[in-house]
Amino acid sequence: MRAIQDIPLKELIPQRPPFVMIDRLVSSDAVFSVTELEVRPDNLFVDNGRMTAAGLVENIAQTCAARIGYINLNSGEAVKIGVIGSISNLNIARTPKVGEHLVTTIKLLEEVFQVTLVEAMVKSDDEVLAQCNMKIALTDMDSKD
Amino acid sequence: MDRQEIEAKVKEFLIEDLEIDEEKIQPEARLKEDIGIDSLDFVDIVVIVEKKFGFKIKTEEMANVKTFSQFCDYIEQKTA
Repeated sequence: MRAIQDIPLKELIPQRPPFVMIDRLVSSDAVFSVTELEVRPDNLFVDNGRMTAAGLVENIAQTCAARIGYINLNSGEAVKIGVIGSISNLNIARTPKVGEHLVTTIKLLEEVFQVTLVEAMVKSDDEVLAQCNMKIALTDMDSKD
Repeated sequence: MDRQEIEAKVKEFLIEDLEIDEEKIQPEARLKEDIGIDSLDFVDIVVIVEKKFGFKIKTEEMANVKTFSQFCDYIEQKTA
């Protein structure tokens, strides 16, 4: 089993710059996965000095992708591509400014067939910025296809 | 919990949580083709059933569950 810090991000997620919305996967266990992101001025989702709500949603989706990638890699499988199936209970308290350090935590609620349901929370300095439930549907496509 | 209560609870969450039209929910209605439940909905159903009925659906046990009535039968067996 490879340690998280030894795995380059590009091996974990199928997204590529400039569409990468996480800096690193910090931890991942059976229930929780955590990623970090510093909001930079050149981020694709930054507008007028703030990351947009769409950027926060993409950050959550890529946290889900990193979790799946980590599981796939440690199972010796190719990293599968997932797509957002649905988003519910989305609450954006505020959008982060450039320079803020985001910590995104997803909690696995259920996994049935190829669909994963998570509860997600994006924080900056312990302030909750965004929350939602997200379903990710795994496809049969490998990220290197 | 008797059969009527099970049916009422299932119907209630299909209508309220999954936004299924009430008229689609008939005893012999097929979950997928007639009621319109897809794999994304099924994840919610697993979570809701665990909360409301206190057991976790095993996907392999759902292989022969095709209709609303069979789904209620399954819950009845699991909660008996």
